[in-house]
Amino acid sequence: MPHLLKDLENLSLAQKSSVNAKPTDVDYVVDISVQASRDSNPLIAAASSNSSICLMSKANLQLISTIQGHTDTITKVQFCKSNSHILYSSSKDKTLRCWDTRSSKQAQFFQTPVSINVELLSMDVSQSGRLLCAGTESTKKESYLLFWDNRQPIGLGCYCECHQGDITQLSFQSGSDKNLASGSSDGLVCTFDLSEQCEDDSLQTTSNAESDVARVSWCGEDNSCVYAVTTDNMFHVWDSLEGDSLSSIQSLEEVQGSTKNSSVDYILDCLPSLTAAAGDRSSAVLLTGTYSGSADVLWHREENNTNTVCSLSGGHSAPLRCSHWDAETRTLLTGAEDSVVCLWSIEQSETSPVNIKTKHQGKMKSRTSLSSSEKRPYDKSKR
Amino acid sequence: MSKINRDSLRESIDNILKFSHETKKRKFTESVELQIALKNYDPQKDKRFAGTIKLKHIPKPKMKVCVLGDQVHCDQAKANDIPHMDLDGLKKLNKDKKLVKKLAKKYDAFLASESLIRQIPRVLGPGLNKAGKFPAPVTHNDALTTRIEETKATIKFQMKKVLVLNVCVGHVSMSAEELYQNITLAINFLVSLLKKNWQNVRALYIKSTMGPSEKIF
Repeated sequence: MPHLLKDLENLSLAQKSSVNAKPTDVDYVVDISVQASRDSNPLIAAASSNSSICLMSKANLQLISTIQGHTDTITKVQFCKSNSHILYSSSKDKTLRCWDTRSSKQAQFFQTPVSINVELLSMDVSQSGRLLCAGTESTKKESYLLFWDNRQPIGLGCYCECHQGDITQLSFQSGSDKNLASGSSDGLVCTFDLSEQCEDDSLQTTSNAESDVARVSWCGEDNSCVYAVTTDNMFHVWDSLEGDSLSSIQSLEEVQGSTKNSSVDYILDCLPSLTAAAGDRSSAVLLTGTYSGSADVLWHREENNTNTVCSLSGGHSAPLRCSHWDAETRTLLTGAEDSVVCLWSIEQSETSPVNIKTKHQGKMKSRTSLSSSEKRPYDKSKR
Repeated sequence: MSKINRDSLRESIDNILKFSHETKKRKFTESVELQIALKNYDPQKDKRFAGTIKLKHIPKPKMKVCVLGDQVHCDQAKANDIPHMDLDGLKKLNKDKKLVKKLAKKYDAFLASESLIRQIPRVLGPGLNKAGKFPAPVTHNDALTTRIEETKATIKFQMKKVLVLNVCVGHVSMSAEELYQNITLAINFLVSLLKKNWQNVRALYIKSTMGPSEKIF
């Protein structure tokens, strides 16, 4: 763990690319997903606020194709974990769509039942790719978790008892088909065991974040913990079995004072594999940002003990919206409201191509790593 | 805070209190609300504008908080005359949806001991989730009464599809100074969540439930 943190200090901008063709109207990058393939150069899908999805290659962030079809803002994109050519997306146009990335064509289409008919705010796909789950906004104090089998367009059913507010995030435990975490604007983070018969039994734990939950996912060793980031910058980690609180940040001031030069305007996310890690379950590695587009990786331990691991500057010029940390390749992808996707890498840029010029017009820029420091072996036993 | 003139804010508060106490007195305690209108903000693609604010002075003193406690917390609650229930009491509800709903209706918020909170989904089912009243945790290190005050002083806000937000920041029985502190606290917090801070604020108003609104920005 300390070794990896040491490595993280070298995190620097490797590639940067824009999803926006026209420089005049800025579209936000709202979500990013990375293909789960053994291929050394997987695809990434970046959802743009103009309701299109850009497919890029991860190594040089070169645009491969653009997927169009949704008629309203896309809320989430997710590659299928078992079949890497399949991409799912949910949107405020009340549909969940399935795309084939080889043809960029729509393969399947799932619509919310007529009786419910509300916007989809979140979505996730189970490990086997069979089960799809989408969370809806709340109307008349009712919000739903909708389930589909990926082979048939008619829904399997829904859960409606566990949340009152908009369901803003859903996340299957990695490697699992049955453990699901959900986060909602009513402040609750629930975990479910979907193998149970009914909703009452499947509800395993409920934790109260006491604010609008913006991001929920699994973290820690064996993905045994659940973390939540709220819209007003609180951060919580719970044990998913017992529901014990492992660490929490109640306000931004707890991390603000510790950063060296820049201030922190919001907490974006954490690096899941480094948060609540074995041996030190109360620590968290956070990704924070400022409204002007710079970002920081912070290491938070217990109360008022936070240091800056590294500062990520020169990438974005607007608030960051989404990130994806890959523990294996040790790269971080970020998307922001300036329609730029950045790839940050610890490894030096020898392997990645330098100065890719793309035909795509606009704010396309590619940069190579700026800092050069010696590599350290990734010591797994120390984590 | 520099954007708002302190003197004119104090004057607006005085006007509101004067209207409520003298001009047209109502038969109930009016609440004081802060209304915020945004600009340069697109609800379709911008980040959600929602969360909670912890105010300095309790805006809704009539809020009823029930403690779902272990032995220690139940004793503390008994000593301070706070409504409370223990695990056996909850088990008696027998996961009956109607009874859980009734319990949820009886109180405005719940607090639960950390040891008990994890059992609540198993003992009560999702009833409290559904009602939006799932308890917040309280530890043995927290003083129960301060935790309850905190719960009462915390207000939620969420912007939906229109660019206007209404937040309750107090009531007319509060002193002008208390209102002033609550209003400035709320404004500063809300503005800090906006990416362009004051450039995202179109207007700010304060008003009492039945009174006229006073523009403060």
